[in-house]
Amino acid sequence: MTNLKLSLTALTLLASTSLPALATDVNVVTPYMSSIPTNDMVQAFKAEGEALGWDVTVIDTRNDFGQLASRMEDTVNAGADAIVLVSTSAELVADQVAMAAEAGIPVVSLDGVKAENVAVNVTSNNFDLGVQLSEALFTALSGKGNIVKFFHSAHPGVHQRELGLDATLENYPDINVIAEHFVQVPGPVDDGRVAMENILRQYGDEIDGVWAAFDDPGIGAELAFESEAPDSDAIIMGIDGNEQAVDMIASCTHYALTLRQDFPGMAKIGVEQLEKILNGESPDSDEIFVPAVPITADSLGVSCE
Amino acid sequence: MAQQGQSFLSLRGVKKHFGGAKALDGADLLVEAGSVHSLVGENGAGKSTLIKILSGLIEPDAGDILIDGQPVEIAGVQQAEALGFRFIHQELSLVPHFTAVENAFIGRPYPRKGPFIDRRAMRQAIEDTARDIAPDLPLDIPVGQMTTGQKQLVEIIRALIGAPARLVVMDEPTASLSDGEAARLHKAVKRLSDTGVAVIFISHRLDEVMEICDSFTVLRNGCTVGAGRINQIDRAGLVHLMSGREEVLGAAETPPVDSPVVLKVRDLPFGTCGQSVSFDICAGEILGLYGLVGAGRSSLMKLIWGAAPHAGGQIELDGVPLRPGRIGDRISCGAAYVPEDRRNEGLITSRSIADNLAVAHLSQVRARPQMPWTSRRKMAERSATVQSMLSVKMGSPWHGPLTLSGGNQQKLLFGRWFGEPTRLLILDEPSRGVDVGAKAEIHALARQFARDGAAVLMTTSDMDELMALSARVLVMAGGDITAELSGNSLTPARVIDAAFQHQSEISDTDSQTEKETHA
Amino acid sequence: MTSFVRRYGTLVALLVIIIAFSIASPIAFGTPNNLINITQQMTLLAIVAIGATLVMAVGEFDLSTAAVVSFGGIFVVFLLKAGVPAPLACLAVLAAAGVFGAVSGFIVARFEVLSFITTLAVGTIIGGITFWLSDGATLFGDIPVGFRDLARGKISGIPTLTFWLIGVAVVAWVVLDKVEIGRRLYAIGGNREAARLAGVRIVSNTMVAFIGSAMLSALVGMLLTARIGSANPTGGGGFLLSAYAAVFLGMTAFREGEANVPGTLVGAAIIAVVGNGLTILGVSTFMQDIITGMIILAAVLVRRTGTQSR
Repeated sequence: MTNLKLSLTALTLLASTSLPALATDVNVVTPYMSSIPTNDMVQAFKAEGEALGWDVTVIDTRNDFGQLASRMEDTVNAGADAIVLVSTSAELVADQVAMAAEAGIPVVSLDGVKAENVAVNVTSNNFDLGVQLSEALFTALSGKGNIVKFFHSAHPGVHQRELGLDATLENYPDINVIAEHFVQVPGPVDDGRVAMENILRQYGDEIDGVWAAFDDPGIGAELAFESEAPDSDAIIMGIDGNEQAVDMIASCTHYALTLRQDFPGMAKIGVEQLEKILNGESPDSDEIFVPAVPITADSLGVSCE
Repeated sequence: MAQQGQSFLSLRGVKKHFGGAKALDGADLLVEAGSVHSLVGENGAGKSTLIKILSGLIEPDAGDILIDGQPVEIAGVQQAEALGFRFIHQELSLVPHFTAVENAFIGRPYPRKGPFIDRRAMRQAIEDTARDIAPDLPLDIPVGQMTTGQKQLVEIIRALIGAPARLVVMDEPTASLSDGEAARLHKAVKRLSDTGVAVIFISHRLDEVMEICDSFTVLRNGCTVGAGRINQIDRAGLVHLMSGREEVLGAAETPPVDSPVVLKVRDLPFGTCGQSVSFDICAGEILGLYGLVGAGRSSLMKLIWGAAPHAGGQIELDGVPLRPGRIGDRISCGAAYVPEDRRNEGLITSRSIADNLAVAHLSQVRARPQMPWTSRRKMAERSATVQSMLSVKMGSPWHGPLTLSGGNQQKLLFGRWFGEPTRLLILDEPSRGVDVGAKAEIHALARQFARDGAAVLMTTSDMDELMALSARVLVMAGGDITAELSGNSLTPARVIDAAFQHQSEISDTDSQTEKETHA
Repeated sequence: MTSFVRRYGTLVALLVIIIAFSIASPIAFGTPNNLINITQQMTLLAIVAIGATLVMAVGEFDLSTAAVVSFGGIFVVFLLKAGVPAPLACLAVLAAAGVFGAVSGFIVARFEVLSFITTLAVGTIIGGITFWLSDGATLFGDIPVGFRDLARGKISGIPTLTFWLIGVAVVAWVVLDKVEIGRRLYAIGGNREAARLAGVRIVSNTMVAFIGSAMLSALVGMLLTARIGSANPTGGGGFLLSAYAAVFLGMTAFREGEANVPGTLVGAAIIAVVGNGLTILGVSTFMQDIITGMIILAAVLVRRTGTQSR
């Protein structure tokens, strides 16, 4: 009897110590899985991670930050080997990140921001993206004109882009933000469309450009131009490299440019850094920026003249 | 504590009118401290009104209330509570998932220990009371798992904690109890009165009244018609006082002898103990169903109307078997139903009068017979026809039904069935809460339906109505039919006697089913 | 006077808001073109709200509305991507939504489960199916031009969407106000027990209301997809609260405290006009939400005080 108990205990111990060693449990947690870039990044990360033999579990909380915190706690309690936060600020779940740190679970952030207890944040610098987009738009307008701004400050990365715009505006005194709209999520495309229609009512041809913090409202704006002001000379620029936006750029519409973040690249670097951490090394830095790629008619090989 | 024998509470010449109806017309009541006093009377005799006056819910129009010989006014529920009056209603008001201890403290100040509720003190307070009243009552299980009898005991305990009680009024506490449970409750009542508390005990079980009460008061038509010590009267004497009518014969018309059977009810399962009922109604007959409140009359009406399912038994209308729980079957066979509770079961108060008249026969207000298209014109026409046929006093058919008087509202429920030949008419308290004039009109209406060949099944608590309309009466008590009366045997006294026949065979299976339904 | 305020107060409020915006912004807001455009902007919300009106008529709630909108959009693109011809895909989406509605309605009526709970659960299930169909991503591409035209462009100057609104509103109004089923639905909503005892079949009629609501929500999901050219698994998320806000606003108009189609249209119009007008005036989105919420409270309070002073 005692023997049986002993061997059972031994077996249990063996199982509990050896199982994690067999496969590395990596939990990917994100509130924004329904957004294409987040999805791309998560899929790329999953592929890269699984190639290394990791067991990658994806958890999506559908825009719900309360759930994000709960799922983080579950993950920590389940004793994952690593947590990857995607498209969200670790500060929003600071307590849970601290919990993970206490449990010795490394937290890697993709497309987020640098934060305490986060080993490394791999991202395109959203502030730089905002600057890059603003420079591209203002240059196309020859430094003079009226623009409409679509923003969504609830998303930390998207908010950084807005700050990038503000910083750039200081260098361009002749660029005017004549209207701005806080994009409603969910349903950003239709919301952008309705808002743009209404703004067109008020300003019509005065509008020279549309600055979209992400492509969804830009797409909505394009749809509004198509139906309300097809002859307008205004141009739209956005960020994300959204497929539908790229399609619009290729069709020579008002949509002139979108900045595509190198999501697969980010995912790849994220996997490399996490591998280092799991091997007991330190990451290269606590924040790694991956540059974005502009997509225009030219880059797509389309001539719109 | 008041001394035995002293008249603790006395009511003199209490009167109360509701509109034109007299609820109390000079009622007297004398209750001694430490005694159990029975308040009896048939339905509508004024018992509830008297109790409501004691509880401060309504104020009497005239009369005196004296406590220990001092006149008092009971202006509100709080004051009744302050006088030491406690009420235990038939519909228990306990929170099912709270224990006896937790229930007892609802709405009362909780004992505290610092900012926290002191559960030990709560239990202590209950234990002391429970030891006196019901030593074997479990205090720590949710009352939802208790039998009805145990819940009654919880109610009693709840009434006794806090400020000292001087009077406990119990409204039919044993109505749904098995004999075993009733006996336990009787013991609790005795213990209660031994502590010097006066108890007013309302019950339809005359045998228990004879057994546990010390004194009695009989009400009839709002007046006190008799009072005294219980050992000075017998059961027959009480029945005689309650009914008051000696040998009044029914004035109702009888249908022709060769009248065909329209409604045939066979072995319909009914009641809590596997009883069943069977009866026939002929064309042109108004069969009366009499019983005290709680005897199960309305449930029987609902079974026959198909509003509730039943397993086994048969209901046939003109030889067509009716499926259990199918109201549509009945309507297409020409049955009609006027429910007891106008507000909750009859009228759709948010819709217009015209809508209420059309809802059961929407095909009657189609613009074209083949299309399910409702015509406002036809609805208005239908309303106008019903209005003139039943002499409903109303303005526009597009107003809400609550703009009408009670009698006219009731007529709407009759008018709802207009337009198709009626074979069976089910009436549940057809003239409750309507004035005398409307009552006569409604009676004429019921007779007209019968004369046109319908079988009418009517249940009523109003003895005069019963005598006026029905030539044959079934009396129910405790879920059983205790008598079928007609011809010379149909007298109010016989009806009342049968209605107060509580069947003592209803045994502990009763409490068994109770438990099952709560599980 | 009070009766007039109670019946038409909300409609008057809508007209006052329109006039106020027209004065504040005569060139941009008060043009026929913009007013026509508002009918297009309110269409999707109004159709969802009309579905909610059906369910409110039987005295219930349908919290699965937003989930069904998202589902409709995703499922139609999913089918189109799989090569199903557009008309067939649309019918399949409506049928699937009808099944969801039937399930909710059956559970609510037959087992008397609170509709809040039932539709919350059913909505959660539908949300899961939607995410599963889409892998959580926005679906884009393979949307035929013919399908897109369902919600784009204009016919003799009137936006296509506006025709959808008129069509759905007329049908729903006829169903609720002109044919027998409507009487039954309102009877159930007014007093379920009385309706049952008068022979109205509760289960089948309640199911009809929920099926109607779900199908209209799915229709909106498809129209939304046609309008923006892509489908998002949470794309319908914004509709639930605004739709019920429209219904509640509408319950303060025309009829006393009863959900009704013309009232719902007024409610949806108020929400759309406020959004349109305030954006044109450059008022921030946050302020728009605050103002819309205050309008709803004001409408309900005016009606309440009207009733009490009777």
